[in-house]
Amino acid sequence: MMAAQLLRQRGFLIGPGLGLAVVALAVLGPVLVGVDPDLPDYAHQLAAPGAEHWLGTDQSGRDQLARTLAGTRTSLLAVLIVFTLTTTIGLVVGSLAGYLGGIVDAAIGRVIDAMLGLPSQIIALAVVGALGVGSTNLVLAIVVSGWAYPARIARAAVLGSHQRLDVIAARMAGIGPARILVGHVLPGTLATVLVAATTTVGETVLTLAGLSFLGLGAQPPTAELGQMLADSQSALVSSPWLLVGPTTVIAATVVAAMLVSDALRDAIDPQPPHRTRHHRRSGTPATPMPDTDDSVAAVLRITDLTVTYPDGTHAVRAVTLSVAAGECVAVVGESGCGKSTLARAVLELLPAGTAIGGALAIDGVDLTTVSPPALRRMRGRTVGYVAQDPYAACDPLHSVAHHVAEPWRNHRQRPPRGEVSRRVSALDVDRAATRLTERPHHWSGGMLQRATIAAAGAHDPVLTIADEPTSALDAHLADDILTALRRSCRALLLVSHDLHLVARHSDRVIVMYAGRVVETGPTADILERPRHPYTRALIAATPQPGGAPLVSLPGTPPSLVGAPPAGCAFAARCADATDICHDREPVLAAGVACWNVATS
Amino acid sequence: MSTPSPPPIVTADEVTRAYATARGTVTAVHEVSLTVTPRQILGISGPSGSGKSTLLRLLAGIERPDTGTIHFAGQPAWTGRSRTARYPRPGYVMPIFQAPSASLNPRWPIWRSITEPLTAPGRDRQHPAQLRATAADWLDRARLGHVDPTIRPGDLSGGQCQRIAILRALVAQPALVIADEPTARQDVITAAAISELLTHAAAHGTGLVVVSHDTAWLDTFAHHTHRMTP
Repeated sequence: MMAAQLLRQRGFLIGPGLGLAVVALAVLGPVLVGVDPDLPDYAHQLAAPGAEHWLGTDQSGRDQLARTLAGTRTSLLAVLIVFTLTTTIGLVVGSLAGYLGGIVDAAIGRVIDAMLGLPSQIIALAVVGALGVGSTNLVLAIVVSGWAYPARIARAAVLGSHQRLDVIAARMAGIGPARILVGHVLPGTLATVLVAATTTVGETVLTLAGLSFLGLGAQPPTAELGQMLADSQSALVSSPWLLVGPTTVIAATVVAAMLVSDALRDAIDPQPPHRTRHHRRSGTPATPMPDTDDSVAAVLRITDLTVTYPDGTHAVRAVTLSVAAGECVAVVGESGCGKSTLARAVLELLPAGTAIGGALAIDGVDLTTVSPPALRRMRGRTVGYVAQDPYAACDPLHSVAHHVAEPWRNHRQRPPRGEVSRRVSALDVDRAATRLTERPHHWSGGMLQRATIAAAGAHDPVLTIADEPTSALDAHLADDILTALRRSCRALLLVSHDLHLVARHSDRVIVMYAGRVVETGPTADILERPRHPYTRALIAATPQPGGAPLVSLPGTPPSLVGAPPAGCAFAARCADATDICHDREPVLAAGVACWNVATS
Repeated sequence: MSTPSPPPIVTADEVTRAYATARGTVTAVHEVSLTVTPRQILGISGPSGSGKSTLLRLLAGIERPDTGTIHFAGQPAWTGRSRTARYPRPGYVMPIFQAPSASLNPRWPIWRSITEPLTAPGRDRQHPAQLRATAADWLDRARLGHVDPTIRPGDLSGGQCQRIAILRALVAQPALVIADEPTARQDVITAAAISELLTHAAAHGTGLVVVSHDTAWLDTFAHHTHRMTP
């Protein structure tokens, strides 16, 4: 699984390619060239590059290519030793400190802090000064200054594990500390420390070259990249080619190390991709919007939308819906039914490589024809977005006012004086003017969600999209928040799993299951006379005032990876399923997609 | 007492817990007394910051109260200056947390997480194949028979992870299960499945303490709900 993730990273392919090339140069190069790098030839001093000496010769007539390759080997070997020693020492010392805690941890922690507080090159200089020059002493010096960083990472990972939930559960189950350390803590710590250590490889290369340049490392006649640069100084003006070999190898090594460590970090800690507009569009591009009767007022029109993620998940399949001006349409269904994907498709926030079919139009503008800059301008102006967790939406380092003013800043404007606090107080936040200067964590979740609603409505967008806007908040706040949301926006696409909640605030409901619309209609009809068995199951699973026992639905939704299920996706969990349900997928007719409803 | 009855699973007597914060001392739990008996489902509700989670951690022996006492099966949980609670046996109390994906080891196949309590010292040593079979059996009982026991939590939905975490708690055959907002951010179908699993455990003798701000959901299965105020 990890290998597949690594392969998907484009940077990771360039990084190791470059890295392998440098390693190959160091290992095979001297053998292939077959010239003694230390053999002087005083007849050809400072010869220019040519057929015999591809990179020319130095002051002693030694072949510069052979010296570069030998120097690469010397330098890479030193880097490898430094990396192995610093990582091992750091891992052992840091893990011990974090695991033992108490006085041991306090003492080691102080040493680590002190080491990190001093410039590493100064420490290395001091060590070489004490031990004397030479490549072994230089490597030792860099290890002495370099172990503290991986040690700090390891210590933090092990210390933090005391609060990790899987560790607490293991402890309560009676698992001993040694087995918790080996089973739960060390594997993750090892990965984290290795990745952190790779980020310092580039710096190690530079430090080694820099100190060798000063004459502290390998001594002549041994070839070393930094020392070669130092040697070339005196003849630099007449023979600039002396620089080519060492600088190219140093630069390539540093770039390769950085790319590999970036890709490793992404693979260990996968973040959702930020890119947007690199989707493969398929299906029916740029077809004119079908003009149905309500087309005049529709601010959002989705026609036959199909979304397939890069891993092959058919998250949304042939969904058609529209939201009229002033209308609130709720999309409901359990986790994984495609409702959030639908919202992200409208916001054009799907990950790179996602295949999108069908058509999407906002306020009459076909999104397939909009350029990325124009799309950025549309966000916030034409479409507003309210996220699930207001604390995650706000920057903890800035005031709440900063967050609410962001939509203006995004369009290089400033909100009119008093506008931010006026808009927030309009959503029933007391003492808004003073409270807005506080940081998000001083606000309650309900109040902060009001502030993010004010931010979403900054440019009075024609359409607002809210993805589970209340599920991160206390239940009793949900009604008030949705009332405020409904009041502050023009048309609303509300994504939720809670049917009763949306019942009080939406005009129409769309029930989704396994990426498809299974039932749609006016809210009151859906709640009072649900026709699709899945809608009935959703209602039965929703707690009602009075507290009747909940009825849960057996099983989980089908996997949407690969080919879609042959029959009705809900058939496996449906008590009324018949043969046709397993064989043929029902189509949405008269607001419901169910064979049993259609035939009865 | 006139009739000899077994001691409650857990007894909290006037427990208080305060935290030092930048704005001064905050008393999260103030002199709370309660008991949990076998088969009992106790709900705890209240607004954010009312000390629900702290009370739960005190009842579970994860945190030590500043004053007051916690007893497990009649024995004091905290003695001397110990930094860890003393349980009558391993797995006596098992936790269910709010964040299902964080409560499972992401590097382990789920069968290993589910059966981890069975590998505690003092239990019979079992072969990994036996443990995998046990896990499959428990998955079946939780109506998750279609889930492959060898996959990792990253390939499961949050709702499925939460049910796996509940199975891990139940596999230990705990006297007490404490659940902290087990349905937060879960959809209604998953929430109903979770209350079904918990109700089933209680019917088999386990005591349950469930913290949730979703009182409507708690009322569908808790025998009594303790409301906390900030």
